[in-house]
Amino acid sequence: MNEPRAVIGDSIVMTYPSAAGPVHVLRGANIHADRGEIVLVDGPSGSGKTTLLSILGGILTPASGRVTIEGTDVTRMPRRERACLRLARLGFVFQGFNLLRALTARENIELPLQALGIRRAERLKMIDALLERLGLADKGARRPAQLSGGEQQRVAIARALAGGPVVVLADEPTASLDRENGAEVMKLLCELARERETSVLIASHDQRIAPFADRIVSLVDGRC
Amino acid sequence: MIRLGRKHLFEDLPRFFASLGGIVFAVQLVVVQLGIFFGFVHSSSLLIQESRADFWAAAKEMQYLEITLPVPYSWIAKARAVTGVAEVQPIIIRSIVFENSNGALDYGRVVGFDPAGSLVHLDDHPVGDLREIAKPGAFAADAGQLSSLGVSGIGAEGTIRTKKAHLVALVHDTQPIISPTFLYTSLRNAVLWSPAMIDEFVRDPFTSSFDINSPLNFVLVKAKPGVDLVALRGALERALPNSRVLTKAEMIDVTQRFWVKRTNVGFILGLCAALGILVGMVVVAQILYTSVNEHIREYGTLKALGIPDRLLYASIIWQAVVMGLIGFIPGLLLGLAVAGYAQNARGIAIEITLPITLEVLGLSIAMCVVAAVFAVRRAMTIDPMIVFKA
Ligand SMILES: Nc1ncnc2c1ncn2[C@@H]1O[C@H](COP(=O)(O)OP(=O)(O)O)[C@@H](O)[C@H]1O
Ligand SMILES: [Mg+2]
Repeated sequence: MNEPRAVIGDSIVMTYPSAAGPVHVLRGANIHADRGEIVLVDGPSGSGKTTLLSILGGILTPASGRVTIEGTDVTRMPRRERACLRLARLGFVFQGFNLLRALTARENIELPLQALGIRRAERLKMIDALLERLGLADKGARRPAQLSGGEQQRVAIARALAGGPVVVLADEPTASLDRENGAEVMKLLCELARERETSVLIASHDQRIAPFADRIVSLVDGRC
Repeated sequence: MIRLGRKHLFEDLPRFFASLGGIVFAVQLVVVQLGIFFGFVHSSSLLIQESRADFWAAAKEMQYLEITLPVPYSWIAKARAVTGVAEVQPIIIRSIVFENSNGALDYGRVVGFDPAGSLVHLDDHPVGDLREIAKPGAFAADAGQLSSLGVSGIGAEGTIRTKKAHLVALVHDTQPIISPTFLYTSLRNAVLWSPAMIDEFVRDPFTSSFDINSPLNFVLVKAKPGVDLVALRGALERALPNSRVLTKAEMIDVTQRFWVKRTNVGFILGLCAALGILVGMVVVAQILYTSVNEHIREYGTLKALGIPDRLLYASIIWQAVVMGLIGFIPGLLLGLAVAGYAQNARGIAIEITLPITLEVLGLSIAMCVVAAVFAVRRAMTIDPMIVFKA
């Protein structure tokens, strides 16, 4: 165990202000994922899963606690460096896909690769391989509007994995999909992540995801 | 990111054209205003520009071409005696009132010079024979001034101070836009039409060096080839008491500055241009801002994925620059069309040169980039947490 864990969230506390007083969403949540491990964060709607994921992803800063990605402390990083780290070492999959609608599937996948400064020839090779692997080989030139929900989420998975991240953070990845497509998307995400030794943290209250996970963590009363 | 900027820019064509409309409006206004400004400024000094003199010597009180005090006739001989001087020719500029054959009056400036001399140059292709202005009562005027004078053309007659005057030739591109009509004639005619008034010279009866023998206003000097012009100017100033000896370029500058300052023309035209820019900027700003607002989720996604903010902003700025570039072309064409109309139909000299054009291009792009600041600021405030909302 010389290698640091892919991601660790240590005693994460998060409070949102509201009209009815502060909402204590996370009260010292602990979570981790090892390299290549697939962890499901389970909990009812409103339990703070999304909040936890966005803190682990360095998008939201916790009130207290510490997040490390491969041993690097994210919580105390300046905003710009955190963005850099997200680009290089994290991947995101969202409930709403969040593809750029003006760009084709290929261009959507290419975006982070381009920002990472990867050469064009290499980018195209990586994208081709991903599209092929995700069963989208003939759909690369389509725009999101010309793709089904399942296909869009597969493009999003390709985008998340393209840069070779340490961790993929997936927030309700199946919530906008029907049963069949949800299963297909989960299968592909987990297969590809295992192949690449990428950890996946999935926040979901969808019980059908459980079989895909190596470990299930329940978020209850702001703790896990 | 350029690709994203491009797609955002062109995805809504009506909006894109609306923004172009704003830019075209601003650019054409700026082109026309600048064109009028430079046309105006340039026209004020045409007589000086066209002259073949190295120096213009005048009384030290000289304000510009048309406001100066007379200098003694003896200056001609004194200037000729200075070593290095090749040629000396005088000019008389005085105010007159021209009465046409119907009794209608026009305010004018009689410009008297030696038609046989070479230092005053008006037009290589005049209508009629310019040398004829040497004849008694003959004068030439700018072809654009016929209606001001109330005459129909060459051969027309009128009266200046009870003496006959008739038009013998027409010249082109010599008349300052807002000066009284210039009447070009011989020194002799000029003096006849506008004799010096005693009180014009004797400002201080005890110290004035001017007297009734002072009919001149400028003495034009041409240097011999290869002469040191700095030294020559010094020598001329020493030889001509109470003089102001300016190079041709300085004389042009003094005259143009006088008009710019006196008329506030720069301010007035600048104000119009600035209003145009403001309108263009508001249109572009609004459109870029709306575009960012329509893509909040996408910009939020890019931020969440860790795409550097500067790339995001660059894509917005890129859109602004492209708008400025594309909008500039029809704006310039429209401006040229308006200028052409003003010039042909109304005789307003408009000068649109390449440097002006390039300046306007820069201005157009700058306008759009400044307008983009609002959109960039909007993009800065986008919270990437939006990506988690379904
Ligand atoms: N920006 C916010 N301001 C105030 N309360 C919020 C904010 N975001 C989330 N919450 C509240 O925090 C709790 C947890 O939200 P969330 O992390 O989205 O839970 P989950 O993803 O498990 O449904 C909810 O009660 C939600 O209303
Ligand atoms: Mg959630």
